[in-house]
Amino acid sequence: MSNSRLMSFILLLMCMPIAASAATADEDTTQLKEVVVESRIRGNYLNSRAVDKREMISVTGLRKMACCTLAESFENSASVSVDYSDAVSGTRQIKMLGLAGVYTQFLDESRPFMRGLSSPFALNYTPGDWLKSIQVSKGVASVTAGHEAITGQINLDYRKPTDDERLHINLYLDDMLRPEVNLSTAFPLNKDKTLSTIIMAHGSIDTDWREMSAMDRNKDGFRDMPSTRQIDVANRWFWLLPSGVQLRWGGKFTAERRIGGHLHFNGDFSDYEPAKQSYFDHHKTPAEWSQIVYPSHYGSKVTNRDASAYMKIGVPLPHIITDKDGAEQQDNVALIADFSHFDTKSTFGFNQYNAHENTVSLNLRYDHHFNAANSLAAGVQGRMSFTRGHLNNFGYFFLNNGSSLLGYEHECDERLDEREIGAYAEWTATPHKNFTMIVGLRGDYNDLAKQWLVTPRAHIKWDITPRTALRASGGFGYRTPRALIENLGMLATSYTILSGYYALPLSVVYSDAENCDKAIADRDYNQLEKAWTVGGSLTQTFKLGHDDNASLSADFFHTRFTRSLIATQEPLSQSILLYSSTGLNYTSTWQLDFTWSPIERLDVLATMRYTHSRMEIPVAESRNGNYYLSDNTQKVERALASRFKGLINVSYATRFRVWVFDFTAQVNGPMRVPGGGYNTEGSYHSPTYVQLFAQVTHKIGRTEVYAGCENITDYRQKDAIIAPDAPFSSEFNSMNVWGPLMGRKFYVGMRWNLY
Amino acid sequence: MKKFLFIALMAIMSVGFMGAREKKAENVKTVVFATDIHCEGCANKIMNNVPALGKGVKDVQVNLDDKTVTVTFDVNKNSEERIVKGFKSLSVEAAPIVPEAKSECDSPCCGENDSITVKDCCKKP
Repeated sequence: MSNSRLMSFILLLMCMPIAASAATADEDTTQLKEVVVESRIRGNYLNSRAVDKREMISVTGLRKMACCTLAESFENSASVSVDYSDAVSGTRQIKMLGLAGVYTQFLDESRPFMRGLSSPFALNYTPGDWLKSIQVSKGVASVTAGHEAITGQINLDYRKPTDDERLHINLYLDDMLRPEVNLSTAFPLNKDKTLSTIIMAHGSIDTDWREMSAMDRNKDGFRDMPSTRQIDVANRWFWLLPSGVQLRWGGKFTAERRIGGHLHFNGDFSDYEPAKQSYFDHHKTPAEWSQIVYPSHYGSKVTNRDASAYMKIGVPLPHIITDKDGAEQQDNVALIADFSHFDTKSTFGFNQYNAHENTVSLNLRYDHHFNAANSLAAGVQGRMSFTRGHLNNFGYFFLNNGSSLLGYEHECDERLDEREIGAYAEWTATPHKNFTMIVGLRGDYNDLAKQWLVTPRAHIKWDITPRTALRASGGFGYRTPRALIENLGMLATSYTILSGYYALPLSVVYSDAENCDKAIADRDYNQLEKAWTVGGSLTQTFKLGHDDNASLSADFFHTRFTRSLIATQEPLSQSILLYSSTGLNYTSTWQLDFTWSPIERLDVLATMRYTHSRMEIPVAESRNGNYYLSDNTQKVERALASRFKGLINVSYATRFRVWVFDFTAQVNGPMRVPGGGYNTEGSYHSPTYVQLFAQVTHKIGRTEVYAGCENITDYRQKDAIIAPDAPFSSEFNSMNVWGPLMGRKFYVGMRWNLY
Repeated sequence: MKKFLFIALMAIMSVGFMGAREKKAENVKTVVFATDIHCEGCANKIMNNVPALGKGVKDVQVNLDDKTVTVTFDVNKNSEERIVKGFKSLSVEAAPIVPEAKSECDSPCCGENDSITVKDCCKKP
């Protein structure tokens, strides 16, 4: 290929949008109109039909472990890793392509969710038992769902109103005596079953019935995990009208309370206010510091409420064509409306962040098939979100060369109104039976950034041979960062939160204390993060022993930011600096996946991911004993991003899956951990560690019972909290979590279905 | 305590492996059931709940085209009635198909006993 052709090809890829076709679950090997010998579904596998690199986690995969929440559903995936945002709240967040989960778009049956305020928590608000499958797509995703998916897209497929289970019960209990209950009931409401509904409910509670010492294995005085109680209720409807029009609507409500911190903290902050006041007196000599009163316990309490509702109307149009596989494809118009409300009250010691957010979005989409080889999806989309919050960041500093001390309280109100309207078009073309291309373009106007955003994305899939597929994708992505909520873990420290390149406390930057987020993102109001991602994969399926469909896949993805919001502890000691940066910020990820069934019903999945992630942070310079940020920067390995993850999962099922045995071994590579000093001083690499998981499942009639063990080797990070014996000192920090906080965990559970 | 739980889990797993060993069938019978299944979901429901059909089930084949389910089972452990009951617990109406003997074989036994299938019948000397 000549250079110019190569350039054209690359340009084509880069300039065209990607369209990860709307996620359709094809998790089933059952074939219609043929004799079904045995329904056998692999747990995690690659979707061979998808144009993008798409990993499927089927219901079999979701049941390899207890998978109590969505956060725990990715243990058999190297593409996605799940970390803790801090060791006090125990909130879990995913990482994909080595970057924070906020750069991955979550879809609830193709509707974006987990945005804004709910983003750090919502992983815990989706019970795994409600899900039928998860599709993980790497790289930029379809423009039809927005411009936000930068590192990937995760689509959740739920239980359906049309399901056969009139009642499904899932009970779970672990060795901390934490019970969980999931119920779902799906039923038709009319004779011809055109109107049906499903109700799903989840309840869980940390009972604290075990002795307290069991909850603090590392004996640092802090709970290893917070005590939580949570309920989730969802109701979904489906109505098929005689005209063929489909209506889907539903709603969900979640309430959660989590209490963390000192072992005997019970959520009572009544002694905090007098303690805070005692800091405000100017203690001129160290001798006077004894006048400072400390609260009896360091505690954290997070109370969240999440309510959402949606409606989808799909109208089929008369135009029908038959595609290359012989399936009928019909034009249609769909209107999707979403509403969500999220309210959080998060208190960590003296720090507090209370906020609520309302979001409304509308998407009108038209799907047209020109012929068997060409189709178009086009639409208009609008979204409004209104956030109101209040941050209270308390701390103290030393004066007069450290001889006197003064408390401070930085407060600021958050008032963030964002409105966005846009249009998109995505063209899917199959010029040759072995080549598919999806090209998309969308344009949006964001009134918060006061910018027009142009998002081109493209995906191609070339079936080089019937068993060899090459995929490539590329495109741009944008998102509005929410500096406070996305870095909520910084409140679980005693560090000072500084804003902007001048590293001033929030209240100083904006003396009117009006808008935290605008303060954080510098004064140019240019808050949007911008990035591009390119990548591709090569997948080969082959016959290996008994298995006709063994597969080996290699992929590479590269994401580079042209503007990003940086939250770093590193240039300045005991401070967290938030600022909007145009500096160097990129990540490259390589991954190998191998699936094989050496004998019937024995599945092996082996996968390995390596990440190279770098960014630029400012350098602090010392002048007269004080540190100031200079104009110089240094390139560092991204903090708390693991270099590699490998795993092997072996699953054996007896005939008809009467017994299922699952075993997973993970090796988690090192992360660079901030050391608490100036300019990455004291930074170190966490050790490589192994985690093992095992579960056995047995079916008795319509009942399934399971028992398992997580973290069999009992590997724990013992120093997740820095300065645990002085939680009100300026050294206290619980953000640097690189390993498991909980040790070995045994659990039992059962699932029962009534049809 | 944890050690005990760990040992217990291992024990359950090993019992499971032992239980999972398929014993050699001694008195196996294959019966075709006519059902009211109509979709892929019904087929999956049956295949995902084979233990609901009772003990001794060796093989199950679902044919959506002619809405039949063929069950091979050990007659010492299960019966057609029990299997029909099992289908009912999955909300599937099922009834064993009585073969028309003469069209299949000449044995006089066929048709005399509803529980004897074509395959068994024709095996007779």
